[in-house]
Amino acid sequence: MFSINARGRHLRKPAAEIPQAAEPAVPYRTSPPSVPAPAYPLVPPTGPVRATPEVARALLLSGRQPEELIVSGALRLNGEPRLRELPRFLECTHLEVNDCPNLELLPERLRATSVQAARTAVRELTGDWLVRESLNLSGNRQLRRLPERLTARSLDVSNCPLLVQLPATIHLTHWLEVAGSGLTGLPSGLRVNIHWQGTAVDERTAFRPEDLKAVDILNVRNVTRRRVLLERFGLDRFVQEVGGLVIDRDRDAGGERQLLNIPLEGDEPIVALRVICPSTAHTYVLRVPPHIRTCRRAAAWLAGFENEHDYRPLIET
Amino acid sequence: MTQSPFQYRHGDVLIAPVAALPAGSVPRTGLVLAHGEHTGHSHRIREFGAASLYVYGKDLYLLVSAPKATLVHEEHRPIELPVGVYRVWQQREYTPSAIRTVVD
Repeated sequence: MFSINARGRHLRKPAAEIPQAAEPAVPYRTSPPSVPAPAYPLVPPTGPVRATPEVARALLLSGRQPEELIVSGALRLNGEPRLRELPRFLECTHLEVNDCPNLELLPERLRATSVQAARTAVRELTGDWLVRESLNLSGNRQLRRLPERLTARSLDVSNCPLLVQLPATIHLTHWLEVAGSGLTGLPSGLRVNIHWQGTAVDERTAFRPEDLKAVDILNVRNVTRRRVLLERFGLDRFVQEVGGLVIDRDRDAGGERQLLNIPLEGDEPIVALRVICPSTAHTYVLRVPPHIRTCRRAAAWLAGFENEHDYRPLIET
Repeated sequence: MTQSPFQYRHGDVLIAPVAALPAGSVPRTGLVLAHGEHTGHSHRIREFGAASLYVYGKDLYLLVSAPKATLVHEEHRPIELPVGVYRVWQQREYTPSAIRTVVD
């Protein structure tokens, strides 16, 4: 009979199915007691295997990995398609398994100084992880769950769209990067700096951009922060609320299009083309480089052309 | 590569005729030119067997082998493409930090 858990399929024979054999009439062991004991133990040694980084690496890539492994240094296995699984218990200084496309199972107990595990095939992380510095899980597109007990200095879960919540008992001391994740909030007990693409933002910007107002963005002095807020807010809505100066207008297949300019204090202006889709009649606002001055030039740039005379759409739908 | 005399625009997807497939182009399965990341919609060729896709480096090419192939999308009116070879790319958008491909 099989039982299936997060680490795959394991053979298990239920106790009820084990036949209760009667005492054998003839003893199995008939060797005289004078036979010397074997030089090796009959029961394999238990406890973790200790290895250098080189030996550990060879062991893991051979697929003959131990249940428990303590590595006396950094374990670097970036970009290894052969790597599918890591031991249930792993201790090392730095663990690097970025871009391992077939790595699905990570340790249930992990002790490390830092962990880089971006863009793997992992779906669920469980157990008890203690990472003294940074934990990078970015770009794990299938990741849905983090370990129940997780402590780290910083955590990056950017571009993990299926990760919608953090464990209630998570402990982070510095920052949490959330851009492109599925998170919609923090656990009630967690107090940590939230980052969006490396810029510190508040919970509203990260998780409730619909609550922002255009004036909030205009009042932000820090240019980097203002750009993040603008991205979270959405250019369409920003232009709708703020307006903008129409610096050119003409017509295309969708109707009138306008080139808008919105000056920003201490930063380059927003120059954007407002167009109407000829099929859906939806209005779109698309930003172009600030030196562009005409709708025609802006449309050509958006289509990938530096020279407006090269862009000649025959049919637009 | 010389500029095409004209282009087709299908939402945020652009298509332009080219003389031939670049030597060394690799076939790509399916007939989907571009997926909508948020909407689940796609720009695709409707008629199975009328066209095939090729990749050369980062560039995408469409070979229409039937007299015509129809480019369709849930929100955009169809465009009929005559037999020929086309380069396919997506509209871009400016941000102060990077130039990005527009996805619907």
